[in-house]
Amino acid sequence: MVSRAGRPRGGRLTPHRRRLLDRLFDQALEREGDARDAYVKACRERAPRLGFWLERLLAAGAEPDSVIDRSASDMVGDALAERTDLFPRTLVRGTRMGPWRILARIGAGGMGEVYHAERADGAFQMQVAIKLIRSRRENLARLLQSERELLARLNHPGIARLIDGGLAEDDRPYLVMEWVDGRTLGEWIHGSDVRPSACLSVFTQVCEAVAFAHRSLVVHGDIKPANVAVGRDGQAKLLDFGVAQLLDASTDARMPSAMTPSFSAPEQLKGEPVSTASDIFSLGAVLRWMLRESCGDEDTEGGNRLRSIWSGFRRLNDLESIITQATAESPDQRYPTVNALLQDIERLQDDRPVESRRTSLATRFGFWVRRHRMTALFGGLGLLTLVGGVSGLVWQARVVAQERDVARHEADVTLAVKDRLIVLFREVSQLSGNDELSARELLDETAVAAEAWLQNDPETLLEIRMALAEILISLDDWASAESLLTRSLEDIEGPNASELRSSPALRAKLVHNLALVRHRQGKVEDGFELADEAVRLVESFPGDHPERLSNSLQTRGRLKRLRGDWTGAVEDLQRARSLAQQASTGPRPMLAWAESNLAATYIMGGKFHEAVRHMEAAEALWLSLGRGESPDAMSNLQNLAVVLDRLGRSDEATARFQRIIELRRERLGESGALAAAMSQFARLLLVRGELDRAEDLLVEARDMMARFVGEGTPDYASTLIGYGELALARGQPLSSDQAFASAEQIFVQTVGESHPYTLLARVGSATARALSEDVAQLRAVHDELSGLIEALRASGPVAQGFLAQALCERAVVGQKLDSEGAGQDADECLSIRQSLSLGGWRLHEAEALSSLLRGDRQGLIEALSTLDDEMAAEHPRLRWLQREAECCADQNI
Amino acid sequence: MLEPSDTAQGDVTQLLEELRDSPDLMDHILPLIYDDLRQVARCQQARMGASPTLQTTELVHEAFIKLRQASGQPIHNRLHLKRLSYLAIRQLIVDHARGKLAAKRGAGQTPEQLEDDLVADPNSHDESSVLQINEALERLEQASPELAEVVIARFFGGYTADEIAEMLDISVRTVQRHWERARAWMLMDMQENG
Repeated sequence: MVSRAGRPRGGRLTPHRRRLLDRLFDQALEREGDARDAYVKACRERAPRLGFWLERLLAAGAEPDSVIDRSASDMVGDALAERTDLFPRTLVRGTRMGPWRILARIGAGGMGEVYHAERADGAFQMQVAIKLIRSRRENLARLLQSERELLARLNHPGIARLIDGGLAEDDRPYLVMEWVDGRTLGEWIHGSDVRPSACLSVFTQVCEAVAFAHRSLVVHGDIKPANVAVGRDGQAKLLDFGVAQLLDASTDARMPSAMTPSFSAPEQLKGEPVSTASDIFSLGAVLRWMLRESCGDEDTEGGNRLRSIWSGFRRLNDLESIITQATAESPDQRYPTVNALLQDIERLQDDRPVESRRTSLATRFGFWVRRHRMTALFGGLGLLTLVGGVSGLVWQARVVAQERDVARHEADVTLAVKDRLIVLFREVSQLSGNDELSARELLDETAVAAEAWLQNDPETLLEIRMALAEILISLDDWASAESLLTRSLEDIEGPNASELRSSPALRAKLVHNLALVRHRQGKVEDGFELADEAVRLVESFPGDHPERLSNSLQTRGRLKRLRGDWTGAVEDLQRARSLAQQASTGPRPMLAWAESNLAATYIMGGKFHEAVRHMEAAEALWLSLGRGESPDAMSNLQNLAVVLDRLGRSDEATARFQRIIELRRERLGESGALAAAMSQFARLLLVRGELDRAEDLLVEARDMMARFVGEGTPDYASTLIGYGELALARGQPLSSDQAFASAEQIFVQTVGESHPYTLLARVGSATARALSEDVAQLRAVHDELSGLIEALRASGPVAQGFLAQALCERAVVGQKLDSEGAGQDADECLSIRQSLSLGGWRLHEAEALSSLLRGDRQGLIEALSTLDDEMAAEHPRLRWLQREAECCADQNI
Repeated sequence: MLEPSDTAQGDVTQLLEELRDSPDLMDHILPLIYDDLRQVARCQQARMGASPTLQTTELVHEAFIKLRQASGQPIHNRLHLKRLSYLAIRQLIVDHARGKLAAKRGAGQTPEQLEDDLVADPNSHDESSVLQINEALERLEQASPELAEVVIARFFGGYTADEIAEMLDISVRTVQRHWERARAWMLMDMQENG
């Protein structure tokens, strides 16, 4: 009972009073009924203010039902819905986004919605997946723009390609990706014919795709079963590649669903940026998922059921240990690269012991390595090759020995570095005990060991890193080289820089190598600046340093070429070449590179004779260095084959083509470059009449191109050109026209209406239709060719070869129509081809045509007899010329 | 029967701090549960009368578990996570309420004129009462954090006394007592400051 009369006020409730009151309240609550009333009364008497509050408290507590008794937790749903924009606007069928038309929504996830779409203008059939990104981050659109190009270059059958991107009407960015006709991994694994070998095979495919991308410095960031599609052909493709890293670290979009076990690495969940190590974690998680299904409950370790397909699999333990290593807590504990993981999987499949249980040397000796410094592991190479690579340093010592004091000092350092490196290699090999180290493992472990053992000798450490970086570059592992180089640059420019008596020569080398990496990454401007700095640095050294300067000039020259400064490029490269010759005698990779670079530049400028000279020199050098099979040598070889063909040295070209195709297939496996070589060779073969062989090559090339580079790309279209020519050689105008037309469509979409390639495709189409004898058709083709010829003239020197072709064709049509200008066309074609130093059938075809149209019988016969050797007897062009010659002869009699 | 020890108190304070320190914690977990949330929301729409709200709460708490699990925290801290999750839910609901209220006022309409996308449960709270309760709760937190926690768990998290007892590692009786006291304090507070 609360008495209301004469109640004193309670006064302020200070914290102290509150505590007291609390205790009193407690006491009061312990009592019931009368006892409680008595207690309260007593309080009011002894401590009136507190008593007042006590009564209030008790009164409040006595209230039967109030807002506070009902939980507000039902508002969570609303709150969350609001927050996550649960019911966003969906795009309907038929909506246009750029050149695409939406067909249906196929999913929605944390990142946004995914739609099935197709090409809207019907130019060619193409189905895609369009992902509409949910985040409205401002710079996302910009980021997407700049990164798209990099991602679009990820050409690999295991990666769903990023094709296009843009901004939807509401300013939300969208990405257009390759459409994969198949099932996600989640669905696939429940298929009836899935066995452990199939699982491992799919997993291997995924790993290969990831490894490929890592080499190009792109990480996925969200590898999970939902992001892997298995096509009808059994090819696994990773979706959403690189998209994760486009989105800011603080954005929500990267994260997986809570109901499935997490595929994200712990550091990722903490908000750190994605890295190759986090991808490796995710791969391990996927493998684990393949092995076990989660029971849906909060999973405790090992609480999940093994999928039935694995029962009876003999090497479960090894598989588990692979998974454990891949999904290790700390990134340092995981496989250092995807390739290392792949190798263990391979060992499993080959019935060999796995390595994952072996701790790395670094761990064994307690060296601490920071995650992002780890070098990548590649396929195994013989140790001998490595030593061969190191011999570059030996050569340097030789060169340098001839120079002045400054140089001599550097020579000592260089020799010391070489020796150190060899010592390191030996140490590391011994430490590995009985395990055989592949060359790459040796590199990796050495990089790690060097960090620790040379802690107190930062200068040498820097040199060692540089040497390793150069070796890595020559092994085509740009990702690892970059990390070594950027770290070295940090050290040189960092706060402890003064401690390092870093020579300008070292900096020049560093900057130069970084320029190479940037060049490789397609970052032309950055690369150019670095290359320029490198050249300036070397030029500022006292004394002459022809070898270094040559090196830097070559890099700068190549970058100039990429920037479109052809003249500047030739200047640099010619200078580089003569400098390289100036440096001491003996075979050296430097000179070979110099020759190759110069040659490539000449090819682009249409100076084929010069180009061949330099390429042959390069080829000889590579061979004498025992590096005839290196990637650089291969590019050189491929270019040489093409140019020899242009020059009419057909047999030599054939030999080269065969060699390059064999080499590429053996050394590097399938790729876009191999497809290009096959396609070029096919085009040579069909002139010689080996049509079936050419067709086989083209079929394979086209398929490979589609897989590695993608349909709808200029490279793919060039294989279609090959098809067109094949059909022409078979006298199949319809198929030929179709092939050329398909190529044309692709070129129009990719390089534009007036690009020489597009015009070339049109010339091809016209040529196909010119096989007809129908006058009206021929007239139409004639007009068409005229238009194309004008357009080709306007395209400048680059399109000269195509112009000559078009002129030749118009001459042929002109002869059929008995029109006036035909002779002029033939003459012009001939003169262009002569000026381009083209040889072989190209030249003689033009000669024959020209003679025919001028009525020069003698000339015609001569030309025809040569042509007879160069072209197959059944070649339509040859046959036509021969028929015309007979008519001509008849007429003359 | 033990009163909450100092360490438990420390835990609570620590938890609250953790939450304050990571304002975008919510942003981290939301995407984790996005897909499941849509499921729940669809259920909610479909079966108006039923209240899958606990499911949502469970979801959030699950998300925290996954989050923490992945970052390597040992499993016996699950309860810790549960606690963290209802603390986060509180933030979520309060923010939501504030936002809605502001929106309603801004739109110049009286609260009754606006409808939710989902049919409003006549028994549910409106935004201003939630905010009022929250304010009182803040004051209670200052004085008696362990009492406040029970309120949060029950009011925002929707947990039962048994569940709360398990989470806080105290007896059910203690939970009930805390609740009784907390409730009285808050009601009085709200009357004072109403």
